[in-house]
Amino acid sequence: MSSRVQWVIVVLALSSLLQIKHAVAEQKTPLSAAIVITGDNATLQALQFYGEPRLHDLITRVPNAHQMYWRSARLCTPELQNKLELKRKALIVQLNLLAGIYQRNDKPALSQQAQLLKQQIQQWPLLATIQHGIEPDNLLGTPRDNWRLNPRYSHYSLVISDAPEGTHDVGLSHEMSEGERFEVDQSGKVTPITSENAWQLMLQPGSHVFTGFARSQLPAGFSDINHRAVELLRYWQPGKALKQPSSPCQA
Amino acid sequence: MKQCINGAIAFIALLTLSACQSVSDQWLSSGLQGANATVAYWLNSAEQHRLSPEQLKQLPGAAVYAKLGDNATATMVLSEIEQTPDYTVKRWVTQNEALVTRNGRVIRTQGLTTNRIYTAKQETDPLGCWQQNVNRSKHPCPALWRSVADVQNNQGRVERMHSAHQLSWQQRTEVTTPLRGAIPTRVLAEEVSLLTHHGNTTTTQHWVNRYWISISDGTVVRSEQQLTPHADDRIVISEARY
Repeated sequence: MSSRVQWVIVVLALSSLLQIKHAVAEQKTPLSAAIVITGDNATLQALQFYGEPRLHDLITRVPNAHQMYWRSARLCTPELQNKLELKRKALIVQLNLLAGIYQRNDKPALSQQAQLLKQQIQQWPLLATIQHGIEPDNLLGTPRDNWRLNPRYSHYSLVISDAPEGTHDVGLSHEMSEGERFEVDQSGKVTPITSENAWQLMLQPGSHVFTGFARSQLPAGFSDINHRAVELLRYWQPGKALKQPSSPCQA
Repeated sequence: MKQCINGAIAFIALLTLSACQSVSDQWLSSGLQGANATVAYWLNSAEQHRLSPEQLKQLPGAAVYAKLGDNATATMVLSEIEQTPDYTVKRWVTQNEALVTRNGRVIRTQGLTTNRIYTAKQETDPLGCWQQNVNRSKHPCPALWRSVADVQNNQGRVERMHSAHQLSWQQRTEVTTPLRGAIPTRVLAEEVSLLTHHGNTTTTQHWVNRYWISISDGTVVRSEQQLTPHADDRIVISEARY
């Protein structure tokens, strides 16, 4: 038996022990989760799961599940929320730059609009989510949708809101800017609103209608700024108004 | 010494194998944990259309026949039930579709072309009260219910419907079921008026839902309900296995 073989054996033994330790730790460390119902019947329920919980295990703990507006469901983790906040900061920086460019180019009205949009986005109640809405009724029949709650995330928050009322205008004033417009619905789907489809587009309950800058007004390097704002808007927490804080994502 | 090393290698190989097994199990798990026997049986069944009485007897739990519009009849099995003194919520599934009923009323669907994704004001729905008073000539149940529902079309867009429901008893009749034979029922008619807003215009539609309510226990043995403004979305649900 050469010393090389002995080393291989030692390495194999150590890796096996590490794998076992990891598997045991996964079994013993509970997965932390919370169910947050906002609105008229606000409740907060803290949960712990052992083993290998799946989405179905979490949603079966929702009280009065049959009365919930599942399209509004969001699944947040602190790690995703941090990433979302970084995206927001990056957009704020871009809007600051844009306001400065407009100012230098002697376009004070546009500069002011960039500042207004920046201030508004700072106050959007954003909540990161793994998916927009849950279809809870046949999760056991669709294993792909019934994914496993990953223990790499420190905590899961399932946030559900009341059924929405009406639609909400956000962004710039449509009359002032004549900018690009988008409908962002509660399922996270983005639909551009154009002069061709505006007349027939029936806005959906809970949708946000975003008005951004006109494309022709955007300087080089900023052409995607409306889309970046809309991407953030997809994470507006249902049931929350501007300036309201979003529900906590942490344990 | 050699024997000892061989033994060690075999032990390590076993440990490695067992560790890999626990990892692969995570991915192999089908998500059926917690499913009751009925659903597990059903999801593994090839035949999901209208089952014969003999086939129904093989099912471990309750089932209904459901026929939507001109589609073929499907047998749906009970996957979950929630019972309180005021209501019973049942979730019926096939491999791809689901219906949720509350006291027999369809309050949510999934997997259909157009789906009812939300029914509001369930707590004031008088249907359960009418069921409990199926044998009384006079009862305290409200005859009018107003509700709101959201319907999602196949493009994922959601439309809101405001409806008014007027309930009244009709004739008594028997409903034939595959396993329990003829069941005496009383028919509850529900006249539905639906308001849908399209921009500045409002359209009104009318239809009648019917519930055949067992005189002996107040359960809904059969029902005909329209789920959305589209006449094609009329569903007939009848007891298959109680």
